Amino acid sequence: MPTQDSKIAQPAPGQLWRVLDDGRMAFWFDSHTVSDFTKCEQYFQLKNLLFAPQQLRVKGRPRSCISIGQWWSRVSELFYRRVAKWQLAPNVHEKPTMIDMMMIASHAWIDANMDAMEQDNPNAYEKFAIPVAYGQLGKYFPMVGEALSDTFIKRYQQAAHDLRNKAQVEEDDTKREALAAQARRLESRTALPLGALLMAMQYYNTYAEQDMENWHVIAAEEPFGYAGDIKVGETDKVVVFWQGKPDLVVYEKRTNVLAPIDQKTKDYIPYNIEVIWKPNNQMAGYIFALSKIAKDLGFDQAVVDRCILSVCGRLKPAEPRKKGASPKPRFVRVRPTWNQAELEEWAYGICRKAERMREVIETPDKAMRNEFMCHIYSGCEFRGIHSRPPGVRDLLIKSDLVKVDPWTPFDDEEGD
Amino acid sequence: MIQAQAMENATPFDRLLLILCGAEKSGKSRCAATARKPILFFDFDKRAQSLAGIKDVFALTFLDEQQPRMPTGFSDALTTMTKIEGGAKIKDLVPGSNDERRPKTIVFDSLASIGKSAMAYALYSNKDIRRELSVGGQKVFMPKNWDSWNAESESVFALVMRAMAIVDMDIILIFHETAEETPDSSAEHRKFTGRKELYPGRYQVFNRYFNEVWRMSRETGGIVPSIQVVPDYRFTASSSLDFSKIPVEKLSPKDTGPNISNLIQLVTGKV
Repeated sequence: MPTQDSKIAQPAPGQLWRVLDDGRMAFWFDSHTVSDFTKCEQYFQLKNLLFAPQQLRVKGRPRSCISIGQWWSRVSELFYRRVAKWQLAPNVHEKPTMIDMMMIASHAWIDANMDAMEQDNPNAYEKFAIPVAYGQLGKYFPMVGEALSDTFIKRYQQAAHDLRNKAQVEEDDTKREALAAQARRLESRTALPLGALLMAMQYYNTYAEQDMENWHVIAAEEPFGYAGDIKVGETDKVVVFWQGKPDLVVYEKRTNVLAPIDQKTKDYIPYNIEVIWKPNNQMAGYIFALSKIAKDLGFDQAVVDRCILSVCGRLKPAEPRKKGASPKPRFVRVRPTWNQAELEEWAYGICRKAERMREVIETPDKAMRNEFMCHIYSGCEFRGIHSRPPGVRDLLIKSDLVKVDPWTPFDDEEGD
Repeated sequence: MIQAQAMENATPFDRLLLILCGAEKSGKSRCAATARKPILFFDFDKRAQSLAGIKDVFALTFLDEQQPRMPTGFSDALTTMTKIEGGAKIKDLVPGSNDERRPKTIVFDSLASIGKSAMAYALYSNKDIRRELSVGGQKVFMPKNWDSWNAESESVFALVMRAMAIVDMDIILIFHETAEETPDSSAEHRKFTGRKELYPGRYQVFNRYFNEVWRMSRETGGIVPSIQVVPDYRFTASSSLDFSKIPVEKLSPKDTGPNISNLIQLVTGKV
C-alpha cells in the first residue's frame, strides 16, 4: 500500500513510532534501536517501551569503553570540521597540524569530563589515560609539552569555574553539591592524560596527511533523516524511516567514491578485524541513506557502495613475544562494500523487524527473551531486573534504573 | 529467497565457474578469450595487448599510481563491479563502445596481480600494517604482519564473491602456477613433489566454489598450447563435465588451440 511520505508528519524528538491514519505504524529507526531490538526483545521493551518516549538506563556513568568511544568521536568531529574549513577556504584557514589535533583532544577530554573515569573505573583509566604529573608532558612532547600542560590546567580551571557558576543557580541540593565536588576535583587535578594525547598524535601521524590529500570532507557528525526523507520501505503493516549520524562523510577524489566513515574503538585490534563488519545494520544504513541523499541532490555520478571503518585500539599494543616480530597495529581501516542486492536485503530485513516490533508493542507479552545476551561480555544491563521474580521488578526498576530522554541523531549530545 | 531447479535438466554449463591456471605465457588469457561472449577482462596483469584482434572481448586495465599517490586500481575494480551489478552494458563500461549487451563472461586476470593491487591499497591506507623502505627517494611499502595479508585476502575474496553473485554471468579466474613443495621443504633446502599447484596459494580456497579447474601448458611443445581438464600426476585438474567422449584432438585442436565455447557446445550441446 503506497503512501505519500509528505503526509507523514515529522516525528517528535526521540519518537520511535506513530500509528498512521491508515492503521499502519510508522517507525523512525536508527541502528541503535534496531540493534537493541535484535539483541533481545525484552531488553528492548524494558529500555525503550516501558516508559516511552523516555528510555530506561542503569544509574551511573556509562562504561569506560563507551565514554572513550564518545570522546574519540568528538575529537574526530572537531578535527575533520577543521579540515573541512581549511579545504573550503585554504587562504583563510590554516591546515590543521598535529598540535591542533592534540589540542582538540585535550579540550574534548575535559569537556566530556573524562577524568571522572578515574573514580568509576580506575583500572581502565590508568591503562588508557596513562596519567602523568603536570610538567612531565614535556618529556614526551619536547616541543609542545609545556603548552599542552598549560592548556590542560587552564581548561580545568575554566571548567571548574563554569561548574561553580552552574552550581550557584542549581536549585536541587544534591545536584549542587555534586557540581561543586566536581569543580573541586578539577581545580585540584595535577595528573594529565598522556594516553589520550598519544592516541591523538599517533592517529594524526598515521592518517591525517593522507586524509587531507585524498578526501573532501563533506560532513562531520551531521545527522540525516530528520524529515523522514530516508524511507527504508513499507508493507501493509509498517512504514520505516531511517535516521543516523555518521562520524564523517567524505568524497574520495581519485576514486569518485562518496563514503560514510565511522570511528570505532576497541581495546586492541583483533586478528579478525577485516571480517567483523558485515553484516552490519549501521553501515548498511549509512550507505543506503547516503546513496539516496546523493541521488536526491543530483550527485548520482559518485559511487556510494562502501564505507570506511576507522578502528583505533584504545590501548597501546603489547610488545611481540617473539624476537623480531612486528607489533600489532593500533590503527586499521577496513573498507567493506555493500552492493545493491545486499542493500535491498538489508531494507527487507529492517521492514520485517519493524513488523515484529509492532507485534511486541501491541502485545507486550509476545516479547521474547534472548538468554544468550543475558550473560555475554559483562552481562546485560537489565540482568538484575529479569533475574528476580516478577513481583519485585517494579521496585528494582525504580531504585536501580533512571529514565532518560532517548538519544537521537539530532541531539547535540554524542551517542555510541 | 529460494531458487529451485530439477537437477536432471541442469548442466554444469548453465553457468561456467572456471579456474584456469598455467605457467607464464602458456596461453591462459587467450584461452579465456574463447569463453562465451561478450567477455570482459579485469586486466590487472597489464597484458591486454595479448588479446589484440579478438572480437567481442573487452579489457579494463586497472592501473595503480606510484607512490606517493594513492593506488586506485583495486578501488576502481570495485566501482566497476558496482556498475555491472547495477545492470551496466558494455558501452557503459568501455568508453567508445556502442555494444548494448551485458558481459556474459568476466575474467579476472590474474589473481596474483589482483592480490598485489589489493595489498597496495591496504598498505597505502594503513600505516600500521606496513613496513616502509626508502629506495632512491621513493618509499616502498611492504606487508608487516598477518593483518596485511588478511586485508588483501578479504578484499579479493569480496570482489570475486560479488562477481559470483551475478547468477547469469560466467566467471573465469586466471591463476599462475608454481611447483608444489614437499611438507619438509624449507627455504634453505627446497624440495618439490614434481606437481604443480595454484599460485598464490592463499586463493586456493576458490577451488571450493569453482567446479572447473583446468590447466594450460606448452609442455607438449608446439605453438598452440594444450589444456588439461582431468587430474593426473602433475596437476589436480577437475571438471564436472564428461570429457571422456571428446577426442583429445578436439580438446586442444592443433590449429587453433583450446576453445571454451566450442568445448561447452561439444559436451553439452548448449551454446
